[in-house]
Amino acid sequence: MERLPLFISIGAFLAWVFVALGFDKKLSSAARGIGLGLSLVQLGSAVWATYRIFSETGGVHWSGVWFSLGSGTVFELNFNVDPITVVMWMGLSLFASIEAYFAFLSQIKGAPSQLRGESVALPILGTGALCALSSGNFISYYFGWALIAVAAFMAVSFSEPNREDRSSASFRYFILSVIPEVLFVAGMLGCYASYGTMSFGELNSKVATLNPAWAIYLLVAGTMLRNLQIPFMQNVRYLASAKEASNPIFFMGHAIVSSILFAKIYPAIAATDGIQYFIAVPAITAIAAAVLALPEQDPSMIVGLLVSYVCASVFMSGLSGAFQAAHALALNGALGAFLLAATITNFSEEKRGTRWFLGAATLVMTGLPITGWGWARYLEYVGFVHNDSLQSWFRWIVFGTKILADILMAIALWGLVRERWLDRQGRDGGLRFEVLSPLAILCLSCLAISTGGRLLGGMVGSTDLSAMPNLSWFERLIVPPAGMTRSVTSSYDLIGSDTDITARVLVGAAFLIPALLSGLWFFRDKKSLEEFREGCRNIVAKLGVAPGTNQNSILWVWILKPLHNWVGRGAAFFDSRVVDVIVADIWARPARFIRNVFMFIERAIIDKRLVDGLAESISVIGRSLRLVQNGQVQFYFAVGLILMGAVVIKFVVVGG
Amino acid sequence: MIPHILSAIVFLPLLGALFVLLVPSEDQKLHRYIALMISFVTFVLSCLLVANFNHSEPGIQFVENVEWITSLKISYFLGVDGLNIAFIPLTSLLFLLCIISSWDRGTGLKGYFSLFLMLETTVLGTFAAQDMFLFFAFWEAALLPIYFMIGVWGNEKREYAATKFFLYQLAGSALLLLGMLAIYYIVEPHGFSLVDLAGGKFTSARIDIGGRSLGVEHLVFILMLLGFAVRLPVVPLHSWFPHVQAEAPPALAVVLAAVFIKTAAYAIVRVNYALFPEAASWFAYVMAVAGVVNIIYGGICALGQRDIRRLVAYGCVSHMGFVLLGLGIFSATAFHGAFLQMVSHGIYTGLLFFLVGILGARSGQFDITTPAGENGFGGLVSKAPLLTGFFTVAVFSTLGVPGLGAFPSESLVFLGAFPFHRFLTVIGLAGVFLTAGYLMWMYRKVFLGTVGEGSAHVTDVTAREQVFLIPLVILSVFAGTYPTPLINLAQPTINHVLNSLGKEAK
Repeated sequence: MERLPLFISIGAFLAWVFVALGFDKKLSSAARGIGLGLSLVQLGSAVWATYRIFSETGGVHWSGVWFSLGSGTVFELNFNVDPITVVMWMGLSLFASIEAYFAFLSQIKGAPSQLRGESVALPILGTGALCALSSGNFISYYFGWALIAVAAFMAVSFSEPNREDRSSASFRYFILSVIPEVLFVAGMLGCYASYGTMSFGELNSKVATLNPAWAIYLLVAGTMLRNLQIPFMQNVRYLASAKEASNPIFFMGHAIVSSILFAKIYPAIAATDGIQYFIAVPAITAIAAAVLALPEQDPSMIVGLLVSYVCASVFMSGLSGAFQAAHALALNGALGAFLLAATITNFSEEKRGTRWFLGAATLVMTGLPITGWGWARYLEYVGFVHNDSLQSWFRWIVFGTKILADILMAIALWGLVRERWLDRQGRDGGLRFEVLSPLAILCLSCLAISTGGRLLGGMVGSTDLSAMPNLSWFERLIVPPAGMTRSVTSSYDLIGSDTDITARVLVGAAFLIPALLSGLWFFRDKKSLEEFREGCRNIVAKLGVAPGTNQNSILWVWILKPLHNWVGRGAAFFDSRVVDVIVADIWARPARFIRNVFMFIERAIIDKRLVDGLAESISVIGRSLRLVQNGQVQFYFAVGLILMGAVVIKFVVVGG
Repeated sequence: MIPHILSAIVFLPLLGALFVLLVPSEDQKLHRYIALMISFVTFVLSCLLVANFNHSEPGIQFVENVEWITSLKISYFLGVDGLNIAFIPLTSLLFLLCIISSWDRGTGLKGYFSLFLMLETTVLGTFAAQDMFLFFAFWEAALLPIYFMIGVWGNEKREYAATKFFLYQLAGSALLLLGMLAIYYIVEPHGFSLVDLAGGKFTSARIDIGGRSLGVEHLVFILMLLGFAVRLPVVPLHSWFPHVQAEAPPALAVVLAAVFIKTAAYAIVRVNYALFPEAASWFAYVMAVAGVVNIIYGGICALGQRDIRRLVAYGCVSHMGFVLLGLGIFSATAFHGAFLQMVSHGIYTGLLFFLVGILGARSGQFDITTPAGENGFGGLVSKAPLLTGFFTVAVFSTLGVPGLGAFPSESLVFLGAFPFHRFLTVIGLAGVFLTAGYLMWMYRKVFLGTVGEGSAHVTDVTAREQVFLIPLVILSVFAGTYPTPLINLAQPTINHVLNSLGKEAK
């Protein structure tokens, strides 16, 4: 029983692949209907798995030998689902079902058909993501890693396969995915060679003897680069292309790959010296992603940057020792980013539901404390404050950078809402603006509450979260599996405690009430909707947070613009055009040169000199022999005489 | 159990070739059916052979040993063990599929099919022979049908390619013959039986050259290795291969890449490792280095190709580097990886060359990009989705995506090699990146983007073509997801070989 939900789920995904393959190029409604049915089957299996785990009737795990070499190497597939992964599984299944449902509906309504390749990509992605998140060893994890890359490539390639930009995007995406893969595989081999195991559990149990740590460094570096951290953040552009392929579940897959490895082998990662200093990479990525998102006009690009930012958050928490936070951020970030991506993909100004979803997703991703992302942020900041493994000054620089990135990303997301919905609704005479503006204020206030609460609430404490009594249902989700603990997480006992809640309420009230009151005061004399709207526009323009608005504002001139310019220089590394040039200079050109050298060796030396030269010399010998074999008797006679003369000289004159 | 089943498998295609030759040239339909029937029966017999193979036994089975030339101690000695058993059904299946793929060839079917069936006999014989003279006879005999098939049914530069092929192979064979004669005269009593010669009989033998005493074992080992290296092909003795693959008819290109070059990799283990264990240990590092050179050199050269056939051919050179690397590491893991790579490479490369042949037949050209840099094909995904689908499987199999062809084999090679030669292994890993580079570039240029001129007349895969493509797709998935049967077939023998090399199977 403990393996059945997993098998059903993977089986349903794979069956879906075959259904998509088995139907016409333009998938019929029957194919999509079956796909929907299969997605519901695997959603059911995810629900069952969740029930088993949380009702403590049993876990979900399976391990089996894939293939072995007798007494030697064993390739074992190992899947183990814990409370964190089962929730991600639920999310994955849910969204796959939604995707199938929308695809089915669009088919029924006569919307343009999806190509078969794209439809195959979705369940492959689901299989890969499920393999990665439930993996219990490197083999199972790598299975998921590779399948996600393949599915992403297919999703980008086959959505509109005749578009040159799309084929270019998929090609670059895949190539950039392979570079970290080489690092990752080298790390995996290193782990196996150094510690003699592929199992996450066994690796974690060898924390005390982890030496050398380079294999772990390679794993971390590979995973970070794969997941949109610098210098491969430019992949965000291709993520955006992938998202256009009506495949927002893609984001989920990437978030899983980025975070789940940290969750799985955190004790091993944390036991290495110096790994914490890798934290600079996600810190720069987070601030760069947020700053780049500010002036960005393309919503899908903003979501791409958001995913990069989420992955950076996960990495930062993981590297700073707050692995509970890393789990929670991965889970909630993936869900939130997915929600946002799905909303943008299916966004329509005419559809009320999608408008509300956009607002809700933005609320989630800007850190509303009642949402998972808010909770995760809380844990993240507590982790930062109490991270003893980092130099103090370094810790605070990183922490400050992250908070700034959080705020800027929130502004960017609300800029997206304003751009996509509020302004247009205003022009169309819609009537949601007055509701949403206070909501925006509320959300930003919540961010402040959350931040303040974290700072106050997480200052003291000494025990581990897993030992905390009376865990709420949500807190149980973010409690890591037993044994994956570290002393640096010592302040988590405050979470959910009276002190914590009081601190949050106080800080919240301190921010929220003045914010609401000032908002009411500001709009007190606005009588009509048009005036109200105008007032809001003025606020946004004064803040100067969106392109095309007042860029002479103090905020823009003194803070955002220098920041943008400063990061902008670094951000050049994330610009695909700039990266193209750099890649051309440091990789493509030398590679081309080496290739030309090899081709020269191939043609001019091996073929021309060696082979043709050998053939030529044989030919010369042949021609020489022909000269000798000229068929004239007197010539042979003369040669015979010379030879005889030589023999006489050798044996008679000189002496034998 | 059928008596003399191994002889039946080896010589049935030759018999078929004679039947084909006896049928008048005009009766092309009969040529086709004879070739199909014979190759099908051969394949069925091969399956029966595998079904009755005792995979817990490391020794040679299905032995057929009859004295042939008594005075020279030459025997007609056939047999299979874990090293060669998998190649018998693989070879017979690929020949069967090739015959199906050649079904609609227009003219000259009599010569084409008779030569093709002769080639099948020689390749199967090379794998099955346990007498060195017999092995050499089959090894050499394979050259003639290939030479004529390239020369007569090849592409534009077929004469050049055929000549080059023949000269290269002949040069390799000369070295092989020299080594073989040295072995014959050194060992007392003289003989050619690979079973009798195995076990380090040459370790103490020495020869005086210019006043210096040299170990015969090392000398002969290198001579024979060079002979095999030409066929494998090992850089820098490889340059015949891309030429030949570009000019050979598609079915022959499949056979050459999928099984013909594997005879050399197999022979390294069967002859060199079995006969010269000490020299093998002494030379192992060089082989591993040569493997990595093959991986990188082949990959980079593939990046520079505009012709899809040459690109895939250089890819083969690169992938045979994994085999060499695995054979250069005396661990069971790497050895199994090399063995699996030989088999799975035969499957997915066969698929790839079939598809390249289909593409060329449809479009009449093979240029991925024109000399001016424009796309030769482009946008085929919308013109021929099934063809794209098959290509996708072949490309991802070659890339080593988990669950497909190359994954278990390459993983085992890297896993086995890493503890011994970390630096070499990491360089070899770069081959994965190179493979992704050239294959995905080709994929993008041919199948994605706007529809190019070369794609204008490309139609999708027909039902007959699916008949020979689908089995290879299934086998590629099978080799990638469930390699256990293949491992089980080879394991006892590989462990035995490693033990004879003085290495623990680990």
